[in-house]
Amino acid sequence: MWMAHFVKRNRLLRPDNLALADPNRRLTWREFDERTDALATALLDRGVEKGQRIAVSARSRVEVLELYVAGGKAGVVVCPINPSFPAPEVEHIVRNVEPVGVFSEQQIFDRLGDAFGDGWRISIGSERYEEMATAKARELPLPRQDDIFAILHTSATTGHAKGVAVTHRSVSACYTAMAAEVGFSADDVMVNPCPLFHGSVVIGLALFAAGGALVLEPEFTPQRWLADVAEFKATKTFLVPSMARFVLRTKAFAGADLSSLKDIMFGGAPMPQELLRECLEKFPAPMRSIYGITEGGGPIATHLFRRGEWPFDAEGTVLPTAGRMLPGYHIEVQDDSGNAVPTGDVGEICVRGDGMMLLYWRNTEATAKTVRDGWLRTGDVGYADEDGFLYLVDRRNDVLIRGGQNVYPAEIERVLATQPGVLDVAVVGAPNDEWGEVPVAFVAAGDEPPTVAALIGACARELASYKRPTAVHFVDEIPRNGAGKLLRRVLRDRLAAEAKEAEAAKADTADAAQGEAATAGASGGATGSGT
Amino acid sequence: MSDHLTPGHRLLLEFVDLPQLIEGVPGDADLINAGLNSGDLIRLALALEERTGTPLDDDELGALHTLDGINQVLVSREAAELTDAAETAPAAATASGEAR
Repeated sequence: MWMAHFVKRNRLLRPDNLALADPNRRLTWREFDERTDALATALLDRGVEKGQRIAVSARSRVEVLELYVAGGKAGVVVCPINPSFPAPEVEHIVRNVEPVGVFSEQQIFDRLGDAFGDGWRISIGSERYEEMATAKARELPLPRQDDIFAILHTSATTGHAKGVAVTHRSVSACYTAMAAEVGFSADDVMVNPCPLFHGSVVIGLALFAAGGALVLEPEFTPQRWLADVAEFKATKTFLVPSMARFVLRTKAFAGADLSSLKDIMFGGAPMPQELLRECLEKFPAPMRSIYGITEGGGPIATHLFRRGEWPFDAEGTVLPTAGRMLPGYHIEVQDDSGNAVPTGDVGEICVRGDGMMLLYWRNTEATAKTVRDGWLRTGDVGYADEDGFLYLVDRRNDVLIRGGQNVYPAEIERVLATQPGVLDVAVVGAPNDEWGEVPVAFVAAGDEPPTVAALIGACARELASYKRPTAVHFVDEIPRNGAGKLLRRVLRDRLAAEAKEAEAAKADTADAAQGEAATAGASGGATGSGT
Repeated sequence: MSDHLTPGHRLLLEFVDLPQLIEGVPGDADLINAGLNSGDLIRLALALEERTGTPLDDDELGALHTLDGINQVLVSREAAELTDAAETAPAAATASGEAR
């Protein structure tokens, strides 16, 4: 019932306030409520039944959120699909959720049409869409809080994305937590440059539920983000660390008016210490870490970083805390048997609360592994101090995070392993200044090795752009233990050693150049004084 | 081979993780659809700003989605620089004349 409830409530409280904006459309709460009522009715009139799925694949725009909320009002399950996915990834999701229909943009239909399956297709922004959004609405039965609201697909260890089924209750739990801890309110305006298929969508929905206005950006550019913050006098925003770095580097940053910002949330990937320091120096607002997981219902812990305050020490070194548990999200560090470990001991971060996913869609085995005894096991390894501050130290799975997007090496390995000439393959995350991590492939090839172009081409056909390896190393053998288990650590160590060598070589070259310059300067001076 | 490439193509090659993706891409093709990561285009935009010293506007940012667009931005920025240079040169001469 959550979608219907919060929209109705905000319409009653503030009908003429701005609810939602993108570069082409702005809607008040009254308009948003009317259009989503109409869409919900039209969906049911098309024969879509409660619990059936619809897919939505488009860049961030007002209509995407209309469809999410309309689906929620009708009791229809919404399945967002990354609009940049190539056909094989879309086909997998379509096979998994079997949508009765798809809403997308015409150019995406043109590119991927058949991949969307046999259901009906409606182009967002078309006349047909507008007819649905302005149709005569009926009073609809209120869905239940435990009905599934959406199925969000995330990268998975199995090589194929898993569908995370989240309920209305889960999304409302996120609102409760963010309203209480971060102070989301009707006075807030949030510029959201993150895609609406990403797990971070629940943060935007939480602010929206509080009655604040949400400003959507079709794609992130640092220049557009700066302009939107100034134009809409944004008070909140959410950036992944790579985005924050780009914002600080753009020329427009120097003259930008960011004075309205009160809270800059960041998450999706670890924040490098030097970048956090720079953000605190240059942004006019504190930085709030959001630690979360899609399966946990989004954010589960937070901390507000302010210049000069703990957890920075005198030297400016920061304790890399992921924050403390949000209200409604009970966090415990557990051992493999599910027992809480003593304070300060390392274990797996587990969470329990209303925000948790219901299940992995049609994947009981994965659900059973991830949800045990009512706890959601995040796969993150860490510890908590006496005050409840969490510190992450490792991951149990092999996931790497590129610019806020999770990538499991198995997905890339699955594609590369089937290419002619490939005998064995392994993918690991390599540290990267801009993206945090990038996937790098190691390939053991036979007598007729494939070209790098062929391998990359295969990845381009089958995987989203952020999952493609940025480098391919040919090796004699992929390191495995006696049982055949891949030893990724060996490959990560190799990359780290190579990076260290390259760094040292760079420093040597710089020293040599400096030495030469000094020598040239000295001899020039001597010559000058000599003449 | 790089001699046959347009300035926009050459510039883009400096910023894409996987140069193979833009081999043979037509000038008017959407680079994201061709397989580029949106991050590649952000890095390109920042480099263009760095090179010319001024922020890109919305139209210029939108144009960076195709090779033709990148070339257009480069050409218009070069033209603007030439105009600026031409406008400041006489002014500088006058200023220096007055100073004399």
